[in-house]
Amino acid sequence: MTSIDLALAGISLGAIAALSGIGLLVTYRTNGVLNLAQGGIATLVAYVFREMVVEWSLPKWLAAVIALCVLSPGIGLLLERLVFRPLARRRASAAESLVASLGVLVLTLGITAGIWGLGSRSDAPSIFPASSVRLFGDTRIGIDALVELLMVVVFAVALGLVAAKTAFGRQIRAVVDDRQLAELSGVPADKVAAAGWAAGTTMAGLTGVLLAPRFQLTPYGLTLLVLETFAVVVAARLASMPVAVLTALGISILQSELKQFTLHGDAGQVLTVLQSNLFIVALLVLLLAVPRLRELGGGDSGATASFSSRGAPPSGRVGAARTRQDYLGRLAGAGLLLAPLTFAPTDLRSAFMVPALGLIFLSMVIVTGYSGQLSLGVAGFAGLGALLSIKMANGDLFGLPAVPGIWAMFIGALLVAPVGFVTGYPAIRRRGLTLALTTFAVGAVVSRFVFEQPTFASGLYLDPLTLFGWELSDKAFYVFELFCLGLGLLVVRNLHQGRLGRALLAVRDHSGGAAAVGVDVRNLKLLAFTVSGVVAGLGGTLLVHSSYSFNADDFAPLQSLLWFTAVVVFGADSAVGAIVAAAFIVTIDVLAPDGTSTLAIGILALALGWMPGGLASAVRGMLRLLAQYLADSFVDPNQRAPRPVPVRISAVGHLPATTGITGSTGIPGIGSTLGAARAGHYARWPLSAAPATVPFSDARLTPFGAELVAMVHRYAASSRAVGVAVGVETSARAGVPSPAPPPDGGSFPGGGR
Amino acid sequence: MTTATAELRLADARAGYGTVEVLHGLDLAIPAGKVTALLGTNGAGKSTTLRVLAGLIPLRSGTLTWRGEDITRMSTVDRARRGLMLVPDERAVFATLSVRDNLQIIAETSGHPDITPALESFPRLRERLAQRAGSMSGGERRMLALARALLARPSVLMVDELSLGLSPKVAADLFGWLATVAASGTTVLLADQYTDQALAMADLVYVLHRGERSFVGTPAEFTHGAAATPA
Amino acid sequence: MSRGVLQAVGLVRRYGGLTAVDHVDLVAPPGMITGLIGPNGAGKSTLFSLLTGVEQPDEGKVMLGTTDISKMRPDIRSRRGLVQTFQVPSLFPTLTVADNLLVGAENRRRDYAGGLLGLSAPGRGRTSRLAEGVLEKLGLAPKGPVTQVVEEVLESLGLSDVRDTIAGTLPTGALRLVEFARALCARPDILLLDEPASGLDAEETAKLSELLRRTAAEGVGILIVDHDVDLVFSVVDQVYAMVGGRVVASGDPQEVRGDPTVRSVYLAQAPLAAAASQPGEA
Repeated sequence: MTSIDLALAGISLGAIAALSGIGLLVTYRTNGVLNLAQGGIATLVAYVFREMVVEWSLPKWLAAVIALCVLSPGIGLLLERLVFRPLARRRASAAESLVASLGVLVLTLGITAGIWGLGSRSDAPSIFPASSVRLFGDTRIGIDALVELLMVVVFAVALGLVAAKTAFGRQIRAVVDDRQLAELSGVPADKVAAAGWAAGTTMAGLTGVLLAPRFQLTPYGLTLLVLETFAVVVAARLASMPVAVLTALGISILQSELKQFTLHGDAGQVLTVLQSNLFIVALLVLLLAVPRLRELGGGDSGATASFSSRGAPPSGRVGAARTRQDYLGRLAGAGLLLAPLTFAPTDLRSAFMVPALGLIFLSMVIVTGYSGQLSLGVAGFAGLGALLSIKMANGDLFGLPAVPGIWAMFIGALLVAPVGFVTGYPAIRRRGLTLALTTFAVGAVVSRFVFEQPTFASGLYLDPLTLFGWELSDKAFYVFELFCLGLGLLVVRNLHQGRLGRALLAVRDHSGGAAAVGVDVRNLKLLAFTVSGVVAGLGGTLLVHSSYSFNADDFAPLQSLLWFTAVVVFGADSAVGAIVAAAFIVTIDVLAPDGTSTLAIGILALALGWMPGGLASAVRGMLRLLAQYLADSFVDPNQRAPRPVPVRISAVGHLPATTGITGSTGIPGIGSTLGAARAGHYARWPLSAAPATVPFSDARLTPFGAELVAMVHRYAASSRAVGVAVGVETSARAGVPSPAPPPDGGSFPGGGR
Repeated sequence: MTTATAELRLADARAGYGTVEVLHGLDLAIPAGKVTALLGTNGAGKSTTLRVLAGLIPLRSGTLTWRGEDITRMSTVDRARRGLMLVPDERAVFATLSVRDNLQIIAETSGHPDITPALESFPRLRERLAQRAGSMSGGERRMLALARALLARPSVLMVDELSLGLSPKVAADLFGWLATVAASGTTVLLADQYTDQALAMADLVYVLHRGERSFVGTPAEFTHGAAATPA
Repeated sequence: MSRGVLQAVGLVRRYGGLTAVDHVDLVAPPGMITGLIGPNGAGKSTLFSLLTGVEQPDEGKVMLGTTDISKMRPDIRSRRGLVQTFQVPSLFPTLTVADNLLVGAENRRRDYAGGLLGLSAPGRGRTSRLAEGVLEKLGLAPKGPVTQVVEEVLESLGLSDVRDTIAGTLPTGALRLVEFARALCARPDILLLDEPASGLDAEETAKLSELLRRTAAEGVGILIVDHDVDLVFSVVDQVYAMVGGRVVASGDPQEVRGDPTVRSVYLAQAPLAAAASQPGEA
């Protein structure tokens, strides 16, 4: 084939990538959400389209209309209404929206895999006839390519005109800039946002339907293909539609042109991989090269504090008290983890996965939960750790001598450290969205260029593990896994306490503020990524030994997204949550059909909108509410002042729990004076943080009630609530004008002076 | 204060964020065509009150009536379109849009697509029409926010912390402008910390304290009340 | 002057066609409070960013003592004694007040790898880190100077009551104070304060100015940018007034206050505000 023929062959794929890019840009530019679920939606629509044509025998045009004009926009409208509107309403951070879109991705993957299975299908119908038009001489171009190209031009021009020339375009920009202010200006923001979503998901559906017939249709495969088109929007810096279109066509044509070359040796192999993976390489290169994406909303997408709600264990006496309370929980947890030792052999082998996955999840707790960096490439680290350790055990690594299995595992994990370090480098200057995409691209490139290459990943064999000459039985292996998990927990603990823990959390909470007092932000980020890489590598090694084989699919790029979502759902800064998440996924995978665990994680991720801080935080909140409810019911109703304490909304976006029982008005004879005395002190320092228990010295409590109240206060004090005493001016409620504080604030009336 | 002339009436309003209640049964009546000042310290509930009036925060209980009509459940967009205009204390302009677009948007939604009145009131904005609003200084952004509100031809203008972060001169200029708006018959509701400017303008003063009303009366009564108490 | 003087020499910063900071020279000596005033958009914030290292100058340099720190990252400048606070308080909302301060107090040590091995004892200098860690693990370690610094600062600023409160739950006034305390814990030679009084009421502001004087008396240099004219003129030893990216007047507060340019641009034509904030003149 000539260069021109190759170029023409590339146009079709390029046009589809361009359509996908347009869809992403439309959603981003109308809602400020980079829709990671684009791939999942595309795949779902493609499967439904195939189902209608192949299984139900509907005419293609009808199926196409249903899929593209009803289903696709319907998905968008539904997502906007149920998932993203609530997030926008409470001005959730870009990071939260990113996680929500990950949740949608995981959910759609779960649905697709749950209904149609993970197997591949090659009978996806094409909506275009397989004919071509003669351009000149022998050069022909397919109808599909022509129509696709036409669609790209029409959509790009139409959308460009709407955005630039119409009042609606102006309203779109206003809604993206500040949704609340748009509403205050009379702009129907919800409708604008919904229109953006519908348009975006329609493009996604179109992408899926067009892509499906060109490849084997598998849930993960097609999704990943669409995710690779993110290269296009990165080149466009999330803003320029023409750049996106041209990049899509350019990469695709270049990829096609590469087919005319053949090289020998290692270079040839690289070339072969490039011929089908240029998009993913472009994604990584562009992310490293493009100076700065034009992110919306001031680029606050680095703020992950919204889903990691807790700080470090406080130093000093409070921390010590809490540590003691935690021992019981730890003992119970250890007991549960040891339980599989009593299982039947097959069940025990299923349980092998739990500590392995737990370690991988812990590595994400380190990077995301503690140091606040979004990292979507953990599967790459895990896979590398696995691969390196097996090769080392096989004596196949850079000519190094074979090392016994167990030691090879640790060495292999340590060898991931440099990779983690290098991945951390982009994190120094990049934040949020850019960093998330960069780490994803690293994982994808490692997967394509290493895990899927026969040179690296074939001829591997796993010998039974031995320790000092003894072959490890199943039970011994599980105990060894627990030992590794314990090591991981130890590292996580050390990263979370003392000077190091405080410094890391400082970087997470406010990196500018951390730098301002001299915390070495750069080195801390590198440290987090490096340690995280090692922990993930160890987890990956264990994972391979649990399943007795190295399977590239276990470390596919999409796994990273799925795992990340799971970790966030169970509380990104909760080590216990990470292990529970691992147990949850493994249990469901063993008991239920394919895709169920994915589905469950997806649903939970979307529910995050209602429980910021993840499941762990939700559970903590529930316990607190329950305790308060109990306490309330043990106080004499006449003595109770169930007025919640006004507490300033914290910068965390997650409201501190308040003890609704610290009111003091109910106390006869004290209320009004106390209220007056407090009036001048409120919001003033030193804070009048009176012990919350004081008002109860007078309240009539049952002994049990008193104990409960004390417990609640202890708990509240140790977790996050502040006991701000309440003083309410009863006189104001009675309608009598009370002496108000004078404007200069210098002299206040009342008891204290 | 007489019931008949109340433009906006908030009765026994409770509202808050998440698990925290900020307003604990607040009663307010905003007289038509007058300037009402809503005073209080940080965290007294002033901003929350304004956000409730604009519909950004739903009421948990209580009612809001506007000229006798119950608008408790009306959406923010509808309130804005009917002339209930809030200028928030922060993020009061679209930072990524040009000054012209900022003005144009509100002019279009309010049905008077002509931005010249705003430019006449604030000539300085005329030079900046093509500039991104976010690149302007704090004072100019505040001006733009007020100019936007003016274009909407509001029947009730609510301004949160007019002077926040402004140099004294700019703040004084803006208060002066607001006085002329009030003189033209627009109902004005000003939330502020205790400032002389707000007091000087107001016909009626409310003081909020921790989400409840702790004082209502004229500015003179307010000043005397403060002076009469032992210091 | 053993401590470092902060010096801006011919600083220029341009954004596109706009020159936000135009050949600015400024000296903030230790033990003195230097004010920086100017109308909105005069370039105060940009100058501030250049001094803290958040932004890099296009021309000119920033000197701390005899060292050129123009190219240094903010955290390095901070470890060299140049500590800033932010317009919007930058506390770590999930940490307790004491831990916020500890982060500041521990800033001179960066050997984080020791912490990874569980040896994160507060710095005491002489004994080896390993020994420190072991001692602390056994509960035998005496209170280190780091913890002492924190306790002293908590005590002297009257923050002992909120010592164990999670910082994210504090009201604005307290946030500012805690941020100031955190900066003090970093043992600064020069403190850069960006609008420390915004959001504070009169009583809090009065307390702040007293605190500033106390801090300066201990030899710390303070550079303060604020709109609160009253605060600035009541505490500063010298003041710089900026308009349009340039310094138009500098020196003794009373002289600057009387400067015709400053009066016309910033102070004079604000009758109401002037009356409110300058009772002495009213």
